[in-house]
Amino acid sequence: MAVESLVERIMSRQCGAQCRAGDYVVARVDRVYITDASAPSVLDRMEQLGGGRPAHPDRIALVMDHYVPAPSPGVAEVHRRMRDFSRRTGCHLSTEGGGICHQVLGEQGFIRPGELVVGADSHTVTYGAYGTLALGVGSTDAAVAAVTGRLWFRVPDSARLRLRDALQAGCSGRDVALKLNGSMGPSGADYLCVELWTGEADIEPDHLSAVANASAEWGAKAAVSVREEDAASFEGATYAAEWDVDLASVEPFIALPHSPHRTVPVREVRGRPVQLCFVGTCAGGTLGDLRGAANVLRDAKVAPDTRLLVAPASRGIYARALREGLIDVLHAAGAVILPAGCGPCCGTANGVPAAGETVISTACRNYRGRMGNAEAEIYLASAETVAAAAASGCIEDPREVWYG
Amino acid sequence: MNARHIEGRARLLPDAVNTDYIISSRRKRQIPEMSRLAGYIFEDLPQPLDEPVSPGDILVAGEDFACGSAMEAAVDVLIASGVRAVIARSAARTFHRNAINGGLPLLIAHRDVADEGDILQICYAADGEIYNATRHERVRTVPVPDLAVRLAAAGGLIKYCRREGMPPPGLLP
Repeated sequence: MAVESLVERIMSRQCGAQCRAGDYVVARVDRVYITDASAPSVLDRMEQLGGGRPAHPDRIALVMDHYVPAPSPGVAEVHRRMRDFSRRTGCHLSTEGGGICHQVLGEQGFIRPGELVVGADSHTVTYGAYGTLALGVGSTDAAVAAVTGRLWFRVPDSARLRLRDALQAGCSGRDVALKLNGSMGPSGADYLCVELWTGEADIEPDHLSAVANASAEWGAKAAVSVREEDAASFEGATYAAEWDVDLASVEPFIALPHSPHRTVPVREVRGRPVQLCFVGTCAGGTLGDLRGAANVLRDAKVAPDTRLLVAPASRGIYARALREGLIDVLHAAGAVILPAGCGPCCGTANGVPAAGETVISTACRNYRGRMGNAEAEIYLASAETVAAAAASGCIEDPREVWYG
Repeated sequence: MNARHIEGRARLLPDAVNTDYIISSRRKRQIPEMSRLAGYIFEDLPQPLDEPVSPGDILVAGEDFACGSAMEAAVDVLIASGVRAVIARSAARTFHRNAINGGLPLLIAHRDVADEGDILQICYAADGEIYNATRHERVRTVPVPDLAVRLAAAGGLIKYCRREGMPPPGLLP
């Protein structure tokens, strides 16, 4: 009998029956989370299901991250509804300033390795870096999973992404992600569970997290890190696709407007003036990203006619960045520090660019209108590259600024 | 069994229409009512549509339809706009799930099926088929999962669960 893939193993456990890729199953879901962007539609659907009080409230989390602090009376009402629901049912609540769902719930011990998790946001896949089978779903899925503890799934085929060696100084997991965005396109891993193999790589968890995060851009169902001690047990498993990335050969990459898949090496677009720089989000707001930005901006200033916004991905990261002096460095350079959360990523909080402005951001997506203004052009890059652009006022290879 | 027959007017969309182009997150935050939000669909498309989407339309999209966000509003807002079905060369799995759960028929056909304004008749069933009445041409679609046909017949997953309950863990037939 064929060797089970990681996703088949987890799905078989969760549905209590041997299942294979292509099967449709109903599986037990360990954890469900929703955000303020999805809460109204999820809570409405939970009510329609008669689930005013879910059976396992400790397995459900509500996170305020997309719209924080509340920028309008309507959002304040959504946040109040989330607080009330949590108080009434005992569901886990992460309030404004706590951070992005894909980061803070791991820090709070709500998300654990090996579990099956659904989150009502496409970047839920980010938790795959920690070995969680974490799937991005819509409001109906989240509501059904929250109320019944179960959900239907199609067991996906698997692919293997093998990382080797180590990143160069000045490069980050975000560069790997952007490079892969370009080669994968929006469906390069369509409906696949991408196993992340790192046994031959030296890569920090924050960098691996950026790679898992980007799998949402390749159409993957999930990206899950394979633990070294489990690797041997997958010997002989079949993969629909295999990719190898030599981390040492990855250089700084950038996505051109208006698609996260239009990526080129940064050196090809050096010199383009930028007005708004942003470091943050589930793709680029980790402690590793803040360290990268602070390394570039130490003893530097944000260039005239350029502004820099920084939003740590969580309160915990904010605290560690304070203790390490990173916030001091960024603040002294002229950055505006925003509360932990999604920040201006999708145009639903402060930090909207003006018409005709060029933005460089560590966010996950740059579709036209993404940051709340369809007349702005958004480039995506690593925290190091964004910081280098902030320091020089134009797109620059961070290795040049850092060592220059 | 459970097949649904749908007729409508083909409305062509380009490749890679992501969910932000279906409806922007900013509008979604500002306007909670789907009926009003429907007024802003496809607003940020780099090439605007010549004519707005109207009730009875069938969207005929290219590759990678609805890539990007998993927000179910992308399905809800199309339903609220009166879109009867979506045909695409390929579509993001997140949107595919949301369409199945919301009862919005989504068919995958790996070829050109219509010109703008063609009248289409769809049989949404396991062996899905599109009849282009303007071209007098039949096109087979990628098989529609049985689960999707059943959920569409029930009016979506929420209604299905209210009536039948969520099945226990295990393999689905």
